[in-house]
Amino acid sequence: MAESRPPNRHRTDAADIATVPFKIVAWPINFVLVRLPAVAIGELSVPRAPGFLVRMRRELGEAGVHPGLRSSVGPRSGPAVAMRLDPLSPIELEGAFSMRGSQRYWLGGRVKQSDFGLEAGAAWQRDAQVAFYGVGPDTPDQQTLYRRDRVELGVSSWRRSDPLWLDGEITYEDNLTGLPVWAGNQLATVEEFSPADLFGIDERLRYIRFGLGAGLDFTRRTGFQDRGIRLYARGTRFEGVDGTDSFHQLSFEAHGLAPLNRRQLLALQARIDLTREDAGRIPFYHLAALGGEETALGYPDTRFTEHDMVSLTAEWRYEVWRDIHNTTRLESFVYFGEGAVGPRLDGITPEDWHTSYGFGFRAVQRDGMLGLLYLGFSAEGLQFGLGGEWTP
Amino acid sequence: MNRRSSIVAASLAPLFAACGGGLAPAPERPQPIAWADTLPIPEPPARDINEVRRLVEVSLTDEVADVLGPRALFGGHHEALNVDRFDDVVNSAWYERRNRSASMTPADVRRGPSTHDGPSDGALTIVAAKVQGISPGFTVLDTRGDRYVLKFDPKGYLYLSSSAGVVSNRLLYAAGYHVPEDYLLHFRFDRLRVEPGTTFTDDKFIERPLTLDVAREALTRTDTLPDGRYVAVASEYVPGSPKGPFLFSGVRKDDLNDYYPHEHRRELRGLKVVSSWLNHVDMRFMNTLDAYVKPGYLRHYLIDFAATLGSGTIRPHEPREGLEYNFDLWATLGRMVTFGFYQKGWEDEEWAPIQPTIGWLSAGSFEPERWKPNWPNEAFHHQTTRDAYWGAKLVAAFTDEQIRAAVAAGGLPDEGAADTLATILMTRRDAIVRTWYAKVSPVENPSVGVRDGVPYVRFEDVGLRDGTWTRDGTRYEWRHDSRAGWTGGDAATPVGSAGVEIRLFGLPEPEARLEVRIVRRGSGVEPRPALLYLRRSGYGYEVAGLEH
Repeated sequence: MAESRPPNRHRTDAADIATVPFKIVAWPINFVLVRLPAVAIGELSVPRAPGFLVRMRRELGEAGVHPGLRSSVGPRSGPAVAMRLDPLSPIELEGAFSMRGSQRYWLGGRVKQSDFGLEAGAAWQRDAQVAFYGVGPDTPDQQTLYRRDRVELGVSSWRRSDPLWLDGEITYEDNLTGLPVWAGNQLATVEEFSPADLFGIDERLRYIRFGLGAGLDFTRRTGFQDRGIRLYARGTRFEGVDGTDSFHQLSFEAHGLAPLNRRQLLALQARIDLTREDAGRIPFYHLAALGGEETALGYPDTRFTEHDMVSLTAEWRYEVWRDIHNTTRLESFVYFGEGAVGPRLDGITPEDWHTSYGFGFRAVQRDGMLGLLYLGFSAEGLQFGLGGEWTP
Repeated sequence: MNRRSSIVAASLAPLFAACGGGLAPAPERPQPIAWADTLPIPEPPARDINEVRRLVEVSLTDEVADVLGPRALFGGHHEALNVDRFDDVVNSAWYERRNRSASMTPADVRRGPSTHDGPSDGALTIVAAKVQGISPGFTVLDTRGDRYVLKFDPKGYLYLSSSAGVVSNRLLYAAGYHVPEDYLLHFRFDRLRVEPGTTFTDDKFIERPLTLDVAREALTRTDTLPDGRYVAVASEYVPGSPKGPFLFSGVRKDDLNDYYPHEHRRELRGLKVVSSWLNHVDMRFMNTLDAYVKPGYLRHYLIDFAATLGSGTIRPHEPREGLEYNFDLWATLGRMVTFGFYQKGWEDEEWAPIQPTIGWLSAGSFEPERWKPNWPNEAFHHQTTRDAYWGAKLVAAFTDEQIRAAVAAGGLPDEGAADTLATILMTRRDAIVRTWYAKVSPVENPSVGVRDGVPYVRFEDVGLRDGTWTRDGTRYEWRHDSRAGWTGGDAATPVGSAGVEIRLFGLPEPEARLEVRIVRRGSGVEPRPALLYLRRSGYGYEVAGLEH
């Protein structure tokens, strides 16, 4: 039969010959970058009867036990395993333990509605390896690490009534700093920044925190994008307990979201943090800070610390992919930011400003962000970030 | 071919020649034999293929190779392998000539593959159910024992996917493809029964007993007619034993009849054009089925046409569909490096469903060359201009009356909607014909003779025949082995409404290769010439082969 019909393969041509070295070079690359991930994605996506782990998770979920993974539980935390228990909802118990030893445990009650939230509870948090670079507008790029433990007991609430946003809290906090966890002997922190120089090292400080925030939200969401302006101001009073000095913080934030179309958007952000003491001193970890995901992606968290901070960021955000049913999209963004810290805002000079820029991706659903991946650059090098929360 | 491709191709031309080029000339090639792939074979096992894995691979590997691979630089893919000497395909387990060889009546088109009127009156017994997701689905047995899959429309869009599915089913059948018998079904809930022991899997993958209450609850996600009846497409199980999907590349190793790699089959490459006509963006291997049928071979079916025409199955189609893959590697990279300024054209298109029953389907803005399905398809990747022309001929064969008949099978409740859909299909058909006919020289039905001692060739210009262009402004040019330069002008004589006769002086013996080019003034397109193989026969010549 085969002889009586056209052959089932083509005669070799020049392109076939030229393809041979291409295939030899491309095969291992393709195997690692495409075929192996394809097998993994394919296997994971197969609808199948639940295995032991899934059944166990479901049983646990029905019993009010929710294990999960988080990318962070605090500064320089690393990924964390998390657990939430809510068999007696709205009473909840949360716990998380990170790769670097940071931990957070919270017990309390939580009510959350679309326009109102109320939370009351007690928390213990350990930030195991917090970086500190000194205080001042131009400190050297030499970090030392410290541990900060704190207990918080309080109640907070928020209410939204478009376009107004209000929130408030009353919290007792008890802070203690010391040597970092699992990071070797970082005595330099203590030696270099002794208690005489820096308020808050190796010291237990207690405050009652009164916070009040108000915002105006003139943004409107269309598809995956917001447009408009959002303004927010917050004042926090730290009332010292047992003779600890009192101080207060003021924070102002403005966001402008200007879409060019349904897929491209210019986002502008300005933020000012002010810290003012009554008479005494302010613990270094409550000073204003520049660096990290909220102010300057090109610098690590709390890279620059002082009483006042200002940051200005412009971000060009654009869609690179969306799924066919318009439920998820991948955004890319490039940003440029300038920020500075100083003893007083009006004392910040042009030399104090630090430039940060970079790019990244956000996976976004209509009701919020799924995950974040970014590279940030600055005069001090590169910062890599990955954010998100996953519940299996 | 772009300039870079031309340079590379030219520099490698000697190598190309040394390797012998593509296929052997048509007259030297053996002919495919009709139904050769329907010989009895051992029954192959059913197979299950991981769809996501395949889609990831074709979305990345194939896309990269297609753009950066050497073949992309050398200007194109190999031609299809299973073509006969006249650039056509023969009947097979994949395809049957239906509307071309014996033009079907509108009634035939409307009937499609149907052998009866659908599920019999009386009880419909549910034996399997999908109650999760946006649209429910049931597998039912009618009183005759025939098995159907019932699929429903999304809420707010009664008739959207059911009607589109039936219309496309009729058109794909008439075009020549094997499809199941799909029926539009109206029924009341009281006809439903549940086979004892039937279960369904809930959203937590827990198997639970199926009851009528569960079925009723599932059906709340679809609308009913004012009289309370449900509308569904009832797709009858194809005859024989299902053996899993076929792929659009390679061969199925346990099918001894499967001879040609699927990506090199003309009917699968040409299917891209038919799919573009029907906006069948979901033309991926999971919507195919191999069935082991009597007397013992695999017949290859296309199934599930819910995501065709204006329907995206669970919602109306959107302008993006048909212009960009679900994950389009190059479009995604293009946006990434241009800060989102790279556009495919659909991004700012304002659109709204034409009607809830139709959904959305482009008409005037439809560009056949740019159309692509939601996922890369290997056979579509390999489509050449010749394959596209073949597919365009399938589409061109549909008359207005046949299209209206197929649309009527969809049972749209509103006559205006049916008329609108038919008009859009005609507009898209015409766009396809205009696009692909212009890229070749659509010479068909050639014959040769001798008059006054001078041979002549007659052929039909199907561009004229199908009204794509007129004689005014159309010029015929030719050349053959003994005359390297193009000849044209008055020597081409009109014959009948669409025929052309060319007198051929100095034709070599015993064989000649004649190239005919149909050039249309002002079109701006230089068409591929049609290549006719002429062979001495008695006192004259015969046409031994044709390539477009």
